Order: sequence, then structure tokens, then C-alpha cells
Amino acid sequence: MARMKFYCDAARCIECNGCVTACKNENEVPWGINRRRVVTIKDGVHGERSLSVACMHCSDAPCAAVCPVDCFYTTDDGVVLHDKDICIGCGYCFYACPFGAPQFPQDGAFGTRGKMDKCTFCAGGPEPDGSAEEYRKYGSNRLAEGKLPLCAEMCATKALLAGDAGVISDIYRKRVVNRAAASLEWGARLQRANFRAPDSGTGTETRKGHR
Amino acid sequence: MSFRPPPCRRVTRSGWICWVLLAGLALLVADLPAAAPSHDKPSAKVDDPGTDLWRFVRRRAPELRSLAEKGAIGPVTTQVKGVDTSVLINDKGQEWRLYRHRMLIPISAIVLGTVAVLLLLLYLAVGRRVPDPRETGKRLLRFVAYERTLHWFMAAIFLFLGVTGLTILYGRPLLIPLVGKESFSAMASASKEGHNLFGPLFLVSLLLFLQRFWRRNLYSRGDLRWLIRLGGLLGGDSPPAGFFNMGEKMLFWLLIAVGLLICASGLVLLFPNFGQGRLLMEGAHLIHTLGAVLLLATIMAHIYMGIATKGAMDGMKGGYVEYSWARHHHREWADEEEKKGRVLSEEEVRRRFGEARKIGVPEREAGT
Ligand code: HEM
Ligand code: SF4
Ligand code: SF4
Repeated sequence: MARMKFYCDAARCIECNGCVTACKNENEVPWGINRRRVVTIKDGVHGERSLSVACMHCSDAPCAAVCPVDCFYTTDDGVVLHDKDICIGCGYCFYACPFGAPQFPQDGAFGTRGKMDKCTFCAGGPEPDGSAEEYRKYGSNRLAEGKLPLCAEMCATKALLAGDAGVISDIYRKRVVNRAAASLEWGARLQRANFRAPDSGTGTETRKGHR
Repeated sequence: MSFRPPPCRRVTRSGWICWVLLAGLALLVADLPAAAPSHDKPSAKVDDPGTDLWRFVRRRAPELRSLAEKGAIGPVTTQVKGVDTSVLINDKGQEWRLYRHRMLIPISAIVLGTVAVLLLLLYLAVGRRVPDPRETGKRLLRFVAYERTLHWFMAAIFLFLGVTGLTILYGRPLLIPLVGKESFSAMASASKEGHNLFGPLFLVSLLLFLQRFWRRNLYSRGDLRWLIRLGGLLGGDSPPAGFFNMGEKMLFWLLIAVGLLICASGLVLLFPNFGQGRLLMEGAHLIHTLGAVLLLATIMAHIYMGIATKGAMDGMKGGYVEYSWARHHHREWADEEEKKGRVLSEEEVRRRFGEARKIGVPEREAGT
């Protein structure tokens, strides 16, 4: 069985937010919510990096451990899903999740939380695959159609990878090896130097040989 | 074991060599920091700047935080609006979850369970304490209708909040195996809505309680003596007390203080629409639950006292207490009331109950 994972390559992500938009559209994500977001660190200074994050489908998921009504389940593909018919909207999964994945529509007066919504790895929910009910509650079930999540499929720079953990880690490993080889002439420090302010100059020099 | 110290000797030749080597080593060590930071010569002290980046992501290292404050490494941003969206890793979530699951759930179960069992055993062993069985037939007015209503209003809300809160807390280990996920989800949802609805009413009742009773719960002379003798628990007569004894006063101020903490933290949890972050809400949950467990245990003892002390419940039921009960438990108050001529006969009390509404006797006197 596959173990589905996302991987975002910080060296490639250009903060275009295409994944966010693709997800929002594909899954008819409720108003006021985004299941995916792009976070930029060191914004505006040398070494700036962006990462696209959503649910990481943890192998030992904190959200599932904390949920007071036990509404999470992990599919055979290693995708963490939840049952909106059982969720009470307490918000505890949001407190526990390391990645801020669970989202809540405002429901009723005083902005109390409605039923939790999060990334499904485009794998729908507990309803029959591809049913209208499933689509209404969780969005599309691309996995059942043999497709991967749309965010990763749409990613222009292929920074965001989705798929079996073994396959995407192989892809990433090859990238890392190639980058290291490309910067050999400058010494391995160039690989690292991309993360930090240059010792001198503008930093363009240290970027050479990268990618 | 015997131990013979080595004989004291003059420094030998090999000893001198050792000292020279050591001094050389010390010089070398002292020289190292100057050599290390160079990036051109790889050395053991080149750290991976990628580590810096990920440390920054987690906002763990203090030096990175201070750099960020100086604006040296720029902010963390996102275009997606929402609570904490620019926080990449929520590293306190795990601590909060471990608090809830490794500490709160087991420890509160042990504390509440132990207190409940101990009080039950005490009740079964001692039964209802009847310190002064004499029925004098004389009555004293203790709580007027407003005060009694307020008390039971607060008690009902408190118990409801306790039951609904504990349903959410213990439901998964205790109730799901019994009723299944679907039914428990309905129960938990009702508990959540009920808890959210009645929570603010608890604050209202708490404030009204404070307004009505604070004066009678101020410290007065003799209270310390009452406390030292634990209200007569150590034997002997009940020490004299005023309208409330020191135990009741301590309960009152504990209820007010912890109750206000619970309400404040509860309101932080109740309105997620103000955009407060997870850290604040996790902290609020911590305070809320610790306070709730403390108050629940305390109130269990309070309920035990009310039931086990014969005559104590009368004041909260009809408003009037037996004169001998008042003399025994609140001597100073009873004597004062007697001086003011407020001791009533049983018939008088019954007549007042009957006529109060008809002739509009002032509430304080009628107690209906
Ligand atoms: C002003 C008063 C109060 C307010 C506004 C309030 C609000 C809340 C809120 C919002 C939660 C989070 C659960 C959820 O979202 O469903 C909660 C949980 C809880 N509350 Fe309260 N509450 C109040 C008073 C009390 C009192 C008096 C008690 C105890 C007697 C209590 C015991 C609990 C417990 C045990 C939990 C469950 C925590 C968990 O499952 O981890 N609350 N409360
Ligand atoms: S919601 Fe958060 S904790 Fe749960 S599986 Fe996704 S990333 Fe992990
Ligand atoms: S919000 Fe829903 S899914 Fe999240 S912990 Fe609460 S009940 Fe479970």
C-alpha cells in the first residue's frame, strides 16, 4: 500500500499561490477558508524561502489523537480523513496540529466554530467514492479516479510534490544530489550559503551554480 | 576499604613533560575560536545555515527571535488570511495535547474520583452528623428568597457546566465504547452547545453572588480561631462563628476567584472570531480545566457538608433554620439575632409563609 505524502521543495517554491487557488476551486472549499497556504520566511531578505503547507497526513496524527469524538481515520493510502457527521467543531485538532491544517467555517452567532474542514489529499470522505454527498462535504475525490491532488499537479515549478512517500523522496533526493554536484566547483558551502546572508556583496555570486 | 595516599614526591621528569604538553594544549584551545569562523577553511565549527532556517521556522532559538526583532532576518508572511496562518509550525500544540491527555484526563479522573469515594465513605461511616438534636421549635430567618434562588440558579448552572464539560473530556474513553461514535457525537455536540450557552450565565450568577454576599464573607475576629480548630472537627464544641464561618468564607472567595478565572478563560475559548491565536487558547484551556477540576472537587465537599450536616439544608430550602442549629454552628449570629428579637416560633413561620404574598410583608422578614 502506498503512503501518501506531500513534499514542498523550498528551493523551488516561488510563492505564486497557484496551489492555494487550485485547491480552493477543485474542492469548493467553504467560504472564508483555505485548506492550503503558502508561508514565506525571511520575507524580503536574502535567503527568503516559501513553503506551501496543508495537512501533512501524519503517520501518527495528533489531530486524531486529540479529537474528543474520535472522528478521524487513516485510509489504506495513509491519508488522514475525518467524518463531518461526527465532528462537533470543538477546535482541539487545530490546537494540536503542528501545521495549522484544520480550518473552521463560522457557524451561527458569535462566530462559533462549524464543522472542521481540512485538506483531504483530494481523497474525499467516508461517503461512497465520487458521490454528490461526498463532494458537497469534502470536495473532489481525485485519488479514487487515479489522479493525484490538484495542488501538486498544478504546481508550475514542481516545488510541491504529492504521491507515495518512496517516490517523492526519490525525486527530491535526486534534486539534492544534482544541486550539490552543480555547486561542487564552489565547494559544498554554496549549497548552504543559499540559506544565509552573503559574507559580502549582493549574494548573486553565491547563487550561481545552484539549481 | 582502606586507601593509602600516594607518597608525596617531588615532580619527576615525566611529570614535567606532562605539564608542558598540557600548557601547549591550553594554548591551542585558547587559539581555536579565532580560527573557527573562516568559511574558506572547512573546520569542525561550520554549522549548516539550513539549520538556522528551520530553527527560524520553528521560532525556537532565542538568538533568531532577537534577530527577527531587530529586523535582520525579515518577517514570516502569508497571503492567506486567518488565525495564525503565518505560523508554519505550531510547536506548542504537542505540549498542549500531552497536557490534556497525559495529565488532565488521568489526574482529574483520579482527583475527582478519589474525592467522591472518600466523601461517600465518610457519609456511610459517620452518617448525618447530629451535633445538637434538641428541637427547640424556634426558627431564625437565614436566607431570603432572592438569595436562595441565586444559590440554586448558580448551582444548577455549575453542575450543568461540569457535566457537559466532563462529557467532552471523558467521553472518548468512557462513553464511545458504550454508546458508539454516532450517539456520542450527538451528546458531545449538545454538550458543546449547552456549555457555550450557559457558560456566560455562570459569570452572571457569579457576579450577582459576589454583590450579594461579599460583605458577609469579610474576615472577622474569631475566624482564625475557628480555622485553627477546624470548626470543631478536632473535638470539643463548635467554635463560635458569625453568619458565615471561616470555612464558608474560604469557599466563597475560592469560588469567586477561581470562578472568575474559569469565566475569563472560557470566554477566550468561546469567541474564536476575535482572531486570538492558538497559544492563547491553549493557555486558556489549561487555566479553564485546572480551575474547573479544582472547583468541582471543592463543590463536591460543599455538597457533602450540606447533606451530612443536619439542619444545614433548611436555610437553603425554606430560608429558616432551627434555632439550636444556629446556636451550634453560628453562635455569634444566633445571639445577635436573638438580641434583635428575631427568633420566631414555628407557628409564626408557618403563618408568614401563608400570608406573605397576601399582605406584602417586606421580603427580608417574610422569607418567602
Ligand atoms: C463563564 C463560564 C464558562 C465558559 C464561558 C466556558 C466555556 C468553555 C469552552 C468554550 C470550552 C471549550 C469546549 C468547547 O468548545 O466545546 C470549555 C470546556 C470545558 N469547560 Fe467550560 N466554560 C465555563 C464554565 C465552566 C465551569 C463552571 C466548569 C466546571 C464546573 C467548566 C468545565 C469545563 C470542562 C471540563 C471543559 C472540557 C475541557 C476539555 O474537554 O478538554 N466550564 N468551557
Ligand atoms: S490535520 Fe494536522 S495533525 Fe492531522 S494529519 Fe493533518 S497535519 Fe497531521
Ligand atoms: S473540531 Fe471536529 S475533528 Fe477537530 S477535534 Fe473537534 S470534533 Fe474532532
